[in-house]
Amino acid sequence: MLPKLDPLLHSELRLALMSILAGVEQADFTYLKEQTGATSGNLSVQLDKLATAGYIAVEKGFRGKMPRTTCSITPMGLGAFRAYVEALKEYIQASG
Amino acid sequence: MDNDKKMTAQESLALIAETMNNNRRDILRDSARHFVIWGACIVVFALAVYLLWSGTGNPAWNWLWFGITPVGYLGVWLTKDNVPSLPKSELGRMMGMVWIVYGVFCLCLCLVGIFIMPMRLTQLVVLMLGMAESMSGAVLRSWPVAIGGLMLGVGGVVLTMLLAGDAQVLLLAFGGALLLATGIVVKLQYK
Repeated sequence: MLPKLDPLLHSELRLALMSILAGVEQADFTYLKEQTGATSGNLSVQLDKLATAGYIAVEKGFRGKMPRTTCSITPMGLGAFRAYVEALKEYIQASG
Repeated sequence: MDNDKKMTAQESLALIAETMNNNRRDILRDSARHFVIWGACIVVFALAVYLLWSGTGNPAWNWLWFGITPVGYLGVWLTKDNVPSLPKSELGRMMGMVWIVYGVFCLCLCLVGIFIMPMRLTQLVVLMLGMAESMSGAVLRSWPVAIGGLMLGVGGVVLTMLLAGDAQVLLLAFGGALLLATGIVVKLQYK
């Protein structure tokens, strides 16, 4: 039986965010916005969903006088991301 | 990017691969900036030392080398605003550590070579420069950088055996030019 895909990660924008954060120590909001092409509002909502699930940590601070939001993946998020990738591979193997 | 779009397993994996590649490309492109700045600094300082040393016959002009670190960091700082806010990554941190270790080793060896025990400083500096570049290439998984470093390190050691005195400084200028060229290649590769 094929594993169930994590619904939180099975969304284009949230998956892209997790893919970025899985490869870096932390990334700021501006970078995530540039990379995904998402609007600020939508990006905030999706980041909140990931943070509420404990997949990412969001830190608000300042860079000089400018407000800055940085995000990093949590161990729980990394585990979920890895499990999701493994599940995807099983789906592909099963269909291929 | 749509947060409600239903994706197939293939599409999801393709998205993950593409996002991770884009990320790596950004980090590589930023590392190219460092290669260009430090390479240009080495070329300028090496040529200045060579011209002043050979022109006056005074090896004291080698003290100019100690100016390369503040000038290089100033260059990195001045060009920072042109780069979008890059994420902090393990890759970037490892690259930084390779070059910090190189800088510390060079500084310590130069101080020992000048004040305690004379040694072939150019040979050691060129060898370590090549090693640091090759290690950067290995970390970044970039062949031009790794091969450039190997050529510089091994070729540089051989050439320092053949060249003497002030002419060895030209070898460092060549090393800097190779570093600069590596930066340009990486920049073009990950445009």
